[in-house]
This record gives sequence, C-alpha cells and structure tokens, in this order.
Amino acid sequence: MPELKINGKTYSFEEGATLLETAAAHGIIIPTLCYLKELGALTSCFICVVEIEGRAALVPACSAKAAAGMSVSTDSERVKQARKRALELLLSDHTGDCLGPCQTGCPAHINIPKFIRELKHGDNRAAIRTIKENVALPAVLGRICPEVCEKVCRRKEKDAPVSICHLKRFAADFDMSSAKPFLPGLAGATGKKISIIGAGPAGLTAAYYLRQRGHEVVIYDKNEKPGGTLRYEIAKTRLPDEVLDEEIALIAKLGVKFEQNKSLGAEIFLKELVKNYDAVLIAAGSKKDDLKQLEKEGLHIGENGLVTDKESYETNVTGVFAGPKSTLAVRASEIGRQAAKAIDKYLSGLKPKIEKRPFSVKMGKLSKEELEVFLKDSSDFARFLPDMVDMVFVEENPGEERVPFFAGEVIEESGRCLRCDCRKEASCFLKKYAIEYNAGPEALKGEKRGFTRDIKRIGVVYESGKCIMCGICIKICEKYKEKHGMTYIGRGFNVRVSLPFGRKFEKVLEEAAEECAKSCPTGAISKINYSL
Amino acid sequence: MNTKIKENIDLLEVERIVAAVGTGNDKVIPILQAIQKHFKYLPKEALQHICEITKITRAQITGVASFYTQFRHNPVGKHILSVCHGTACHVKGAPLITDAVRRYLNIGEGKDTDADGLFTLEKAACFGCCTLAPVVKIDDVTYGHVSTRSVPEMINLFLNTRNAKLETAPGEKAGFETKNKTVIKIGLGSCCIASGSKDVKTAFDEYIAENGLDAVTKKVGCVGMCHSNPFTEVVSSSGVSTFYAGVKPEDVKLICDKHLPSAGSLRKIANKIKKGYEHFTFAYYDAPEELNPLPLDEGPACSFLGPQKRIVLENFGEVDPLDLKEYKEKGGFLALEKALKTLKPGEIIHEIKNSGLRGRGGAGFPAGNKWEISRASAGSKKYIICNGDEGDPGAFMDRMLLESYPYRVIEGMAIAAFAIGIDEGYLYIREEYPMALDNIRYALAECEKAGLLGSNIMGTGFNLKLHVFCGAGAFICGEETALIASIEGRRGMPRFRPPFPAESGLFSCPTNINNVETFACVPWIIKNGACAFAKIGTETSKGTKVFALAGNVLRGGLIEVPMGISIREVVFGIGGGVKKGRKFKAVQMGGPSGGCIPESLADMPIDFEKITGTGAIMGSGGLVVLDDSDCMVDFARFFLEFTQNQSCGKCTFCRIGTKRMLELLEKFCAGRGSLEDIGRLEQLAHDIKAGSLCGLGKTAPNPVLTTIKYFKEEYVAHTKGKCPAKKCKALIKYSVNDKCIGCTLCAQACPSEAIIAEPYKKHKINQEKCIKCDSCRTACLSEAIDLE
Repeated sequence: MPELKINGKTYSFEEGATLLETAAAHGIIIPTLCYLKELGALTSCFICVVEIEGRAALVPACSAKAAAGMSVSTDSERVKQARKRALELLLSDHTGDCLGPCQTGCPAHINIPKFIRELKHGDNRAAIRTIKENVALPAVLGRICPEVCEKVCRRKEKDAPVSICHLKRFAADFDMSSAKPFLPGLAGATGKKISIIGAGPAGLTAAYYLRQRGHEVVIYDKNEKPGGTLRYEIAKTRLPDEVLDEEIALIAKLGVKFEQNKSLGAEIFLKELVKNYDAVLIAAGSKKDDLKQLEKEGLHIGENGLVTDKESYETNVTGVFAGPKSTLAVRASEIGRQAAKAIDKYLSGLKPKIEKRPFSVKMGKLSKEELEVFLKDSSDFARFLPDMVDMVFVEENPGEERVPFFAGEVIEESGRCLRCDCRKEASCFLKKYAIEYNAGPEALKGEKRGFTRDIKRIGVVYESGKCIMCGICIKICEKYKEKHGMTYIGRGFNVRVSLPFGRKFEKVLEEAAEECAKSCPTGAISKINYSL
Repeated sequence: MNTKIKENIDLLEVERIVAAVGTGNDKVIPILQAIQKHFKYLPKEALQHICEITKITRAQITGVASFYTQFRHNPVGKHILSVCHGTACHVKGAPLITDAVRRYLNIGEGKDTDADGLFTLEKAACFGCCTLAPVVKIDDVTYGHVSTRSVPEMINLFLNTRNAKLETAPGEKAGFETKNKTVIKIGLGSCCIASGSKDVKTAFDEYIAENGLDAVTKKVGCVGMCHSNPFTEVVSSSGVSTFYAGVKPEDVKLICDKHLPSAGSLRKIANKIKKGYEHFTFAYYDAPEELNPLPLDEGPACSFLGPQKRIVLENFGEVDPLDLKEYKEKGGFLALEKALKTLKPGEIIHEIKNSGLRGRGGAGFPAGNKWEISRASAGSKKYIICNGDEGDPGAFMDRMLLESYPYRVIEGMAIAAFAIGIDEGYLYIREEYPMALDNIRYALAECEKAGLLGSNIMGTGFNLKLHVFCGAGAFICGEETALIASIEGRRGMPRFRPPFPAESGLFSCPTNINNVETFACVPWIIKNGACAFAKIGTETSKGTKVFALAGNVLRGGLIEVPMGISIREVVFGIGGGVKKGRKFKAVQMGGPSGGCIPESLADMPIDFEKITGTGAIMGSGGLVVLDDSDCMVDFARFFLEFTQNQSCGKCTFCRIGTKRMLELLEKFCAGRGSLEDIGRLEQLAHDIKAGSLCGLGKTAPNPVLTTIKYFKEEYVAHTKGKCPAKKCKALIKYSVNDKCIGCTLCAQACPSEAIIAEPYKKHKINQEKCIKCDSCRTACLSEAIDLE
C-alpha cells in the first residue's frame, strides 16, 4: 500500500481514500461539521482543513485525496488558527442562545430552562435534580435570591419575566415535603479528608459537592448552629430557620460532619487542619480577627483579604483553598461549588482549576419580529407571582414573604418560558469545536441573521438562524426524494437553507425530518424532546 | 393562495415553453429564462407547475431561481431600467446615477418600481460597455456617458422613441454586392450602437436611397476605438479609405457630398488617410465623454493603433462579423481545414504547446497541456466548452470577440475539439450580452449550413455539434466547475478539484474548457505556426493579450497588445493618459480577483508572472485606469461588495469572511475605521485566501491587499476622517467659492433644495440638506463648487 506522512509519522493508505479517511483509519481525528460519511464530502465548513507541505493554501481533508509521498499536518499552529477563524466566522452569524439568558445570568448557572420544562411536565423530581446540579440550598435561595435570572429573562420584553426564583422554591419545598427528598448519589469513598472552615452558604455548598465525590468532609464553624450569614444575618421574615435547618439536614444526611462552636485561633488552628486533612477550604474569614489569625498561620493577606489564585482558588499554602469573598448568598454558593471542583481535582492529582463560565452564543436583544417568533410557542398567561408582597399572608405565615405556588400554577407559569436555550446544547458540534479551539462568538462580530423558528408537530424544529449552510439536510432530503426538500436559497452572505415556495415544516418533509435532526451538526434542526 | 393571481398566470404558456425546451433536470435554466421572457418575472404558480410536468424538483427550481440574478420573483414595471455598476461605471459615478434615477422616478429606498409601474430600477453587474461609462440600459436600449443631470433627458428620450425598432436582425444584408461601389463601413458592436452608430447607419442608408447614390453601407464589427464612436470608414470604389470619428446623423450629408459624385468640400471633418489602418493619421479630441464630440482635424500618427498587434482581432473594422463568406475570403477556416486534412490530433496539440499559448481566462494554464490531459482522459464521450461568462466588471473582451469575431471563436473550438477527440460542446455566454448570443447563434447556424459544423465536417468524418448556453447572471459561473453545474441545471456552486473537468466534467464526462480569447488565438497559431506566435511576447507569456481599456483614461477601447508591453505604454501611449489636470494613480487589473498596480510600477512589462508578483492578476483583461480622483478604499469596498454579492455562499470563509471584510471597509468609508482595523482586514484577507475552495474566494481579498500594500496612507487618512480623493460621501463637504458668479445653475440642478441662490450673489450650500450628489459641481460653469 502507498504511504504518506501525517504529523511527521509515516502511514499507509488505501488508493482513492481522502485525507480525512486516511487519518481516521490511523486514529487521527480531524474535526468536521459538514461531513457525513454516507453523504460524501460537501466541502463547505472548512473546519477540516489541513496543511500539505509545499502548498500555499490549506486543504479540506474531507475532499482531498491522499497521495503517495504527501506530508500532511493536521495539528500545526496554522491549521489550528484557521479552524479557529472558521469557527469564529460561523459563530459570528449564528443566531440563537446556547444557554438561556437566565442560565447565563444566574450566578450559579442553574439550568433554569430545563428545570422549568421539567416542572411544566409535572416532574418535580427531575426538576430538583437539575437544580441541585448547581446549588445545594435551593429552598433557601428560592427565598432570598436577588433574582438576577429574572432581570435578563426574555419574557419580560413581552410582559413580565417568568417567576424563576419562585418556581425554584416550589421545586425545593415540594421535594423537602415529600416522603423521600432528593439525595444525590455518592461516589465510592476516596479515603481523602477535607476540612472546611465556615458553615455559611459557600462552606455548605462545597461540602455538598465534595461529599458527592466520595471524600470525607468536616465543617468547622464558630457558631452554635450551621448556616452562617443565612442564619445570623438574614431576617427571619425572609428566611425561616426551619427551611434552613431542613436543607442543612439533607447535607448532613450525606455524611458531612459538623463541628460547631469551633473558632479559628481558639479551638481550631490552620496548621493542625493542614496536618490532619488532605485539603482545607476556608469558607469564612472575611472578618478581621479571622484574617489576622490566618496571617499568623502563614497565609498571605492582601488589601482585599486572603490572597488566592482566581483560577484555582489556591492560597500560598499547598492544600489550602479559599475563594473570593461574597456577600451574596447565591454567589457564595457558586464559589463553594467551584472550590469543590478545584479541591476534587487537586485530590485526584490534577492541577486544581475552577470551571470557566459556560460557553454560550448570545442572541442579545430581540427584534420585535423575533420576539413574536418566541411568543408563538409559549402560553399567553400573565405572570402569576405578584410583584407586591401580600402583607396579609406574611402576617399569617411568619417567615414567608410570598404566597407559594400551587402545583397547577406552576404548570401554567412554566408554560410562559420562551425556550430560548438550544435543544442541541449538549450535542452541538459547533459549540464543541468552539470550546476546543477557543473560538469566541464575539471575535468577528458583524451583521447577523434574525431568529426564526418553524415547528413540525411530529417533533422536529428548524431554527434557521443557527444553520451553518453545511448542506447535510439538503442531501438527506434528496436521498428520501422529499417532494418539498430543503434547498439553498439566495447567494453570498444571504444564502439560506430553507424549504421551497415558502413552505412550512409542518406540511412537508415526510420521512427526512428525523434524520435531518439527527444529522444537523448544530441546533438548526433538532428533535423536540419534551423531557428535556 | 390568491386565486385571482393564479387565474392570471397562463399555465398553458408554461406548458408550451416546457414542450419547446424539454423536461430534463438540466433544462431548468433555459425554462426559467423562457418563463421570465414571457411573464417578465417568475410567477410562483408557473414554477410550481413546471415541477408537476418535468423532472425538475421543487428544491432544484427554488435553489436555481434564487441563485442567478437574472431571475426576478416579483412583477416588474413596464420597462426595466438597469444602471451598470461595473468597475468603469463605478469609477465614473454609477452610484450617483442610481440615486438620480431614484429621485427622478420617485422610487423610495427599498423599492424598485415607480408608483405608475412604468419603470423598475435594477443594478447590473456589468454590461461590458465600459468605455461608455456610466452606462444605463432601458429595456434593449443602452445609454452611455450618462450624468446625474442627463437622467431626466434620457428617460424622456426613451419614452419618446421607444416605439422605434432599434435592433436589426442578425445577418441582415450579409454578403451583398459591394463591387465598384463606395462602401461606408460602420462599427456596430453593442458599444457602438449605444453611442448612436445605428442612427448614423440609418441616416446613411436613407440619404443614399433618397439621392440614388452609388454607395452601400456595411456594418462591421468592433473597431476597438470606443472613445471615437460612432466610427465610420468610407472606402471609395478605388479602395482609398477615409475615417471619421464621432459621426452624427447630421454629418451624413457632408460626408456623402464629399466622397460621392456631387460632393463638396469637407476639409472640416475629413481626416485623410494614406492607406490601411497602420499608417493613418489621427488626432483626438479632448473629451471623449462628451455626448457629441467635435469632428477631427488632421493630426499626428495614430498612437492608439500603432503599438497594437492584431492576432485575435485580425481584420478588425473590415469584415461584417456575420458574413461567413467574407470571413472565409480573409483566410477564415483555412486553419481548420489544415488541421483536419493535414495534421494529426497529436500534432495540433504539440503545435499549441510549442506556441506557448496560455489560458486567457485569467489563471494562465498552458492550453496545450490542458488539451493533452483531456485527450488522455478515458471515456468515449467528451465535451468542449467555451467559457464566455465574462463576469468581471470592467471587462468586455469576450463580448466583443463573440460579437465581432464569432467565426474565429468557432473555428478555434472546432480545431480544439478535433485535437482532443470531442464531438459536442457548448458556448456558455452570459445573458447580459444579447448581441454576442445572437451573433454566435447565427454564426453556428451558418457554419452548419456550410458544412463547417455538424457531421462529416469538410468531408473528413469529423463531427462536432455546438450548443449555446445562456448564463443567467452569476460571476461565479466563470469558475469552471460552477459553469458545469450551471449547464447541468444546478446552482453555480464550485466543487473541490481534483478531479479536474479534463478528467470528469460536464455530465461526469471529460471536458475541455477554455476561454473565448484562448480559442480565438488558435486559428492564427495553426495558420502561421507556433513559432510565429511564440516570437511575440516574453519568456513565459507568449503572443498577444486583448485588454478592455477603460476607466479614467482619455482613449478607452478594446486593444490587443503584444505581451511584454509596459503598463505605461498602454495607459499613456495607447490610452493617451488621464484627463488633463489629473494624476495617473494606478491600474486595476483582473477585476474583483485582481488588484491595483500603482503608478510606480507602471514600467513593468505585462506578463502573467510579473503581474502576479504585484499582488494583482492578469485576469481576463479588464484594465481600468485610476487617477487621483479615485479613492482606493472606496474602490476596495466596491470590489468586496461585488464579490460578497457574487459569492455562491458555500464556504465559510468566503460567505462570512468577505462580508466581515466589507463591513470593515464600509467602516473606513464612513470614517469610523481604526488603525487596528487595517490589521484586521489583512488578517481576514489572509484567512480567506488560505481557506477558500475556489478562485473567487482565494482571490477576493486581492483588491484589499493590494490597496493596503500600495496605498496604506489612504486607509490611514480615512481613520482620521479624510478621504484624499474626495469620494467617500460621509467624509466630504460641498461649498461655494469666490468664483461664483451667482448664475443659479447649481441651484436649478440641486435635487434637494440645498443651495441658497440669490441671483448675482455668491450662493451658499445648506449642509444639512446636501445629499452630496455632485449635481451642483457638474452644473457649475465657473468651477465655483469646492469639494473638501
């Protein structure tokens, strides 16, 4: 068999094979968006470009045939840069949100649209599981959160935002009052021990996630009861002790140990903790006395308190972690979750690192027409949660500012969600490669298409703004000999993939729809899955 | 669905069209063209009906109908008014003309038809009448040298004369008796007609008939001296030629009186020539763009024709383009006869290789090698295609060749087909060239009648059937794989090469594609030998090159020069340099794929490699001259706008990348660009070049890269809010200076009432009302309008 070189190594190849096929046969992965083996190369996305020695232009690997003696590079800087640029160009004309603005806006990045849909379908268990992916104290936060998510909710452009926070509270309350409140599964015991100083929102949250990873966790706290600021600073009228106690009890139920009445410098010392534990998280200590004590024990203190690495939450002492201070409970909760991530990495021998903000293309403000598109598929009901506090109710129910939702109201309020988030958020190749090649949606900003949405009731939706013109669906329609198959329309920047004669999805695509949804590399054509 | 509209669409007509054209997938473009010819647009009902009665799918018809710019999807006004936005027209102010038409017909932004439904305004890519820039076409009538002020006059003239039949059927009066008669030859290429040569011919015919003179008029092809149109040659019965430039119908009597019995004195406009074009004397009037140039006086030797060398344009101005007999009398089809009867196919290919002939479409691939590959490709069915999809704005060589030398192109194709072993082929000609299409169709029919095409050509057993395929308006179809897709009835979207068309092309058969000019060189080479051709030119670029010389040059026209001639010789020697008081700045070569070569490199000899070295490309031969009134940033923007429009939209870099570049250039033209944006532009340009599939994307950044390379200071000036050439509307201001005599002409010309004009007092311009249309400056007779 003839041979060529890929990335410096010699490989054999089958006569007539493309570079993509040749590379794949030897386990070298080249990214593609518009390529599907059964349809053949469409050569439109240019993500699969490679460099061939002696050629000035880059070459799409999906179409170029392997030739004897060729020297190909699939991962040179030039290739990576070109892929990044191609992705940035595609992203610059990609209209839609990967994540709903609410999720992007939420300091804890809760997958809000998902839990709202779960509530809409009456699946409270699923909703609380989704919520608790990101926060440990949803019943607490459901009462005291400043509702950042609602400030960016698109629904407010029509009337008022979805009552996200109150829905979250409903999910949490409902769960806690159920016979078997949700408890996450725990990983097998790692034998590692972590001590956390401070049983406030950050400490509690960190404990909740670290425990799930199979580590032993002990929280040391100077107060009589755990909760920190949640218990001792927030008005009881907003957050009753019972709610806090119940949620902390769920954390304790996971096996987190609480050591109360333990103050730094009196009962506990950092040096001892470092000695006795595999890692220490300082989730308290923004108080002057505490800082002084920590400094005495060797931690660097700067103008803004503890000096920590922003990317890893490491302090200057190995194994001791601390996040930035925050007075906002939901943000403190997120710091705790991120600290848990960093510590978990550290304990498994990896470089500790907190998560980056989740990647998302953002649509920004909607035009009037776009808003109409979104509204078409949501309920017309007005927001259920009144902005005004019902004083009568508050007086009759000490510790409650707002009237909780009834189950029926939850379903109706959930129906108000516009479903801004992308259905292919988890499986989108454009997103996958954008993250891999560090391509930003804002790098090559310019004019963008508008958002459209065309739903076929059998369960497929076409959002043309997300189409990257790869042509896969056109080929699939040809394969099925669809009477009204997808086609390219127009030319240049304004070329679109659409249906002939202005047809709507509902009436056409007899057989190809499902396969189009499956094969579309982005969220342009996707299956409607109501459990998601 | 609106049933009323449906009733109005005559579906029987659709069926008649389909019955005449055919029902195959590949017939979609001809069917759509016929539908549009009948309905003036493509009614949805008609398209749907086509899908019912042919093999064409709904996806295909939608894709194709929306791809080609020829096709309209909404009903239009009674007349179509197209403003040419080619390079030369852009340089001469086409956008201002469009604005003026909008104003006069009161067509608002975003609309295209006036309230009465009389005119629909369209933007044309290029009519190839570049020497007449700016050009406007209303239905079939072309108007050259239009100015913002002459727009109303032009429209009214059209309305008053539209009933007159302006086109003659092709081949009319071909082969009439000229012996012992004075022959008056008039160039009737489409540019000449647009300059009024048809009226001149009619005037001659009428005068001759009325007075029973012993003379005949004869239409000849393009003479190339477009700046002197209408151009007339009077050949006496004894064979002495006299030439007249810029002839008007009212000059006819004078000319006839001088040359024919009872002639009077005609010193005033005659220009005595000794014998033949090579020697005649000629002087040029100063302003070719004026509508009615002055007649000529005797002058120095002709510098326009002197440096030229005619191979492709052999016998220019002498023969009737459609007269096959005359073409043969001048040695036409001798080359084909020689090839068929005395040469073996391999010998022909050898000869073409030895001649050094390279493809004239732009890339310069050796023609002989291409033929050799096509010949060697397996398969008994092969095709030949003549690429006449001359989409470069600012180029009109192929149009002229097809109009004026159809037999030469056909002969070249036939020789190639014989050498490669091909029996069928296409001439792909863009629909913007109606006369080229008519002439080729006529010439093909003539050749078939004469046994020069068809079966058993010249009794040698060689068969060749040639078809005409009318393009539908897509620059990208000049790319060979897109062109093939177009003939096959698909959107003109290029595909990855290899395989090259020579291996797998039209209908998956080996296909040899050459440009019009390449084929037109072939008969001369076969007749005169490879050595004679190879003697002309430079080391790597042999023979001659036809250029369309246009833009801000005094003597524009169609020229053929030996390779190796310098740019300066072309611009100053042949073209007479730029307008008085202006400074020559650059030439644009290669159209949207090419670049600007600055004055400092003007002594460079023209050859493929040298031109490529500058960052421009030879291209198909558009050569647009720019002077210091041309803004290079605006010029780069103009080309990017073109390529962005013409991009097929397939590849990421070309589809979105060129759009981002265009946005950056628009930012510069609006004075909002930054120095960092120059870097961004360059970065994008390199990305697009490296990551595009076809030539369009690979070369689209060239106009930007060359202007940044040679004229960076203009970009920098724009970041500071200055347009040195005073072209970018957002950065200029009109004002009145002290030369103003208070004549109010400017105020009368101003369409936006922005001029405060008191008679005999210095006028003032209200900046808020000024729309920067340049009307006042063109109206002013005392140079009192300043532009800063």
